[in-house]
Amino acid sequence: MSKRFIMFLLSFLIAAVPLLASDWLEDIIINGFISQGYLKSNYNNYLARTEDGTFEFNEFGLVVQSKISNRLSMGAQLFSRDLGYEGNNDIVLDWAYGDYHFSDAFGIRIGKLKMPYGFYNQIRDVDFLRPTILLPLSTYAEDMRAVVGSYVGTNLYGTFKLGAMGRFDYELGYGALNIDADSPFIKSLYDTVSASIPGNPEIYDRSTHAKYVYGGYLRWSTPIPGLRLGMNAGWTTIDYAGYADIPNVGKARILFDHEYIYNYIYSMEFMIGNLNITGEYHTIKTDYNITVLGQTSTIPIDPYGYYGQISYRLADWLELSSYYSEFFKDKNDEEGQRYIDQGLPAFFAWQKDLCFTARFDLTLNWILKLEFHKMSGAAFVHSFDNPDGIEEDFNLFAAKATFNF
Amino acid sequence: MKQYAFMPLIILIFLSASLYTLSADYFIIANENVPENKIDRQRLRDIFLGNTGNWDNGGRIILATLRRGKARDSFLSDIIGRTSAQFDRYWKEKAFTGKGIAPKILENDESMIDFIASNDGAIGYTDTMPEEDSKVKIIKID
Repeated sequence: MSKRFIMFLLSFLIAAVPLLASDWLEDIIINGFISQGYLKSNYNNYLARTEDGTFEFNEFGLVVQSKISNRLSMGAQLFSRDLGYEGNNDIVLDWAYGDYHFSDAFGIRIGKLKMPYGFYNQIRDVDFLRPTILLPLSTYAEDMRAVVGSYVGTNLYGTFKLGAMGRFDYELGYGALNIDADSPFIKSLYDTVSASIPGNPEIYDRSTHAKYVYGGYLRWSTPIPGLRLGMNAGWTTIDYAGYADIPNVGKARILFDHEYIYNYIYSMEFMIGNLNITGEYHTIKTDYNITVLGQTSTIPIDPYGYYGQISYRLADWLELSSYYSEFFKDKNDEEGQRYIDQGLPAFFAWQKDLCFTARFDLTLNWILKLEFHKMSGAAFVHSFDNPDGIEEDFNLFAAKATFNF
Repeated sequence: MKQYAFMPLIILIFLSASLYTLSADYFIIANENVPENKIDRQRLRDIFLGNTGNWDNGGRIILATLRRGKARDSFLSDIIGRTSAQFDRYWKEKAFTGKGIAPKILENDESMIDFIASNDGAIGYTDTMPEEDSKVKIIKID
């Protein structure tokens, strides 16, 4: 989201204020948070320059919202973050929307919206709302943030109460995706395509475009106290284009696309007293159509992953959590034969993560987390971050302090 | 033995009184213009979790909660089924995704009663029973 758009929106809001009843101005609620983290790995630069240890890991957010009438509310969040190559503390409009609540069963939101995607995507920027620092990579890989962050469009939502059968919550969204073409994930896709072209030429003058996204979730709060089941589905298409200087051919147009990306997440949460158990299974169906010199080849690929997480609050000030997460780049090639055929290590095909976290709620507003990850595989470890090579097994230590108000 | 015939009844009355005392760890209070006088547990839960935003007459529901204390812990455990930390996190999640405005947090019974009395559609709870002239009404749990 460009700064120009943010300025336009803020100017619009400021101009609109005198036109609206002034009562709701008294009800404006402002919340915010500031997080600063540290990452250190023994091998591999993962997410940032972690081998040397890095403080390039922070987030700032400011939320403004107000209830304008009994049924109409509006809100927005300005957000800034830094994580290695991503964010660089540019201020963006993370979300901003108007919400008209017709009834408990039906409401509509219009604006820039967070993508409904698993239990945690809509709160992934807000560190203190989750037990761990890094979310399980099987579903919430940091790389994927460029694609599943937010969209501009509309969202229908509501709740159906089923008496003894519990309650259903739903959200359905449709709109245009904003994709950061400079994100490591998109960069790694261009690198993958480049590797399939003779001479491995760099692709330049890149452009990335997503036509639309639609999807949503259905969550069932079951009659069993504390048990919640959910399902997410999302669909989109993404086009990529650029040029490459191919040996003995010269400058050539490179086109590739995901003709379709189908995304499904099945979720389970069980909360009893201070114990919280969560699990999610995530599967994606997509293919790459790669066109070079008029020749098109198609590579079907079905990534999938899952995690199980357990959290227990021992005291008001201490919560311990652990999760185990596995991600495979292609369900049909879990052993990484495709990489072996290219002369690359098989472990590029997966990434597994065993995580332990201690969360300290120092005060109502201050939170400190310490976290250890034992990683195996390199599905999200990038060659451009690790020019000297990539190790299969590595450990990552993370620490993060957050202040919220 | 006849003189002991009423013992079970006396014990029952004593136990009932004890249970009443236990359930009266908190008092649900609302602004006088709130249309409902009796609310069942499920609806109360929906109200305090923001799943219901309006009263039956269409008026907006305004939530208030105590910052800490026995009444808060009892109310959250008994009605909401969450710990204090889980309740806070639930509302912060709503606030930081724009899906709801967190309940007004008040420090003690006195400020809670003042807030409820002066805000149409407000509902909250107190540790002690409000005085009769406090301009709030006590909601019975159905």
